Amino acid sequence: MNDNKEYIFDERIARYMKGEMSEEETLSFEQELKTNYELRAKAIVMARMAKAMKSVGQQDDQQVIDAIQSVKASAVTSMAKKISKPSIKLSYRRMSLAASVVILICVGLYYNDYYSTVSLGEKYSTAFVEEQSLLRGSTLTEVEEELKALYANVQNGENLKETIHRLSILWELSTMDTYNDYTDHAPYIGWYLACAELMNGENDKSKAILEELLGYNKDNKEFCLLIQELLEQL
Amino acid sequence: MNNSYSEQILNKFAAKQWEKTLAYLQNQFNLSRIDCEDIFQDSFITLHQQILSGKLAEMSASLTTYFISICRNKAFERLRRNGTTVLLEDQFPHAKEDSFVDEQIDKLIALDNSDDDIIEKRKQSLVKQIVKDLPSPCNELLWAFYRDGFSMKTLAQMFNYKSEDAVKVTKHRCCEKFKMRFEESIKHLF
Repeated sequence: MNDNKEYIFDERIARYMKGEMSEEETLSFEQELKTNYELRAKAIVMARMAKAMKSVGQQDDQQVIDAIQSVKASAVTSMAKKISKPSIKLSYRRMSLAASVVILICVGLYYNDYYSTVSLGEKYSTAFVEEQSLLRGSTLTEVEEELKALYANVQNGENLKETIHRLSILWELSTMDTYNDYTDHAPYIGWYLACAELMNGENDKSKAILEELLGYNKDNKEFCLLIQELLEQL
Repeated sequence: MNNSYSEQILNKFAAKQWEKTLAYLQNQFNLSRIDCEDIFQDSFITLHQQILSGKLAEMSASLTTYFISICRNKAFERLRRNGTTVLLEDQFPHAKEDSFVDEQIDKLIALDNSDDDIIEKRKQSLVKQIVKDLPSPCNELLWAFYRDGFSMKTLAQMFNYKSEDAVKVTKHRCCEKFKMRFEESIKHLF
């Protein structure tokens, strides 16, 4: 099945569910549903998803509405401020005290577990430097420029949250059946995403990506050995 | 409702709204971060007032859609005060009405032809479990499209995709994954 046809299916199903079709279009679509198994199967699943999301979503929304009704306006204001301005200004003395407490707690309780995960990410994020010859040229495409910046973020441990979000999207794109700008970069995108998740303390997410990478790169024995080496340490 | 539990729920909701509101306001209106922070905070106050005054009683749209509509309106006000005219063609959903029509959705589900109520209820329960457990970025994208009713353009702005086509591609892939997971899971129902 070609992709354009799939995207057209998606759009038509959504328009039907939103009641955006003309009477003529609706009749034609409903007629096609009787004979086109693929369209019908997809439409049913999408409809089920939309219905479930509405049901679950309404329950969740009601919980939030009830919560808002039960708190004071001042609590709502300070909560919104806290979420949108996460940096807290402390006096130098408080900052020193806070920093000391944090260090003690990390060393006492969390050091081994957290440090080993993050340091694994840091160590393995430099494993691919020699393979990135295509990103070393002086004339890189827009895609390559972006990837270069994202990989550098992972290696330097910078802007991890935004980098992970962007790499997750590119990982999805690069592993699609349809060839696109990111397909050739899939192994590196997956690898850096896995390392970034490790550096973010997300072992399970990293493992899932590494396992997927193993599946996609069966022919590349060296790469598989590297992935397995990292997986064994998780 | 216990206060600390209420605050937890509220914090979770606000945290979910912040990143996408910030991205949407910056990309759509070219506002500074400080302006976006102010709009976000003011919008929560407005939301609180409107809930207390019962204005949301007849709402079928999602709370996210309604909240971001408030942010959008406040962005317009701010730009108008600064003398900037903004003309938008972003197909923004209706603030209070659900974009998806129940009757149309039910017609499609009826094609699944199960006369057995128990099987139908199990299918419904299964789908609810799956939608609560979607991985990122599918979770954010599918909920924003099918529940919140946002257009491809708005989704691209909210989640920092390079283009509407990139959103279309990712959404399609997410739908396929959802379909596979659903079809695999219903095998175990029988």
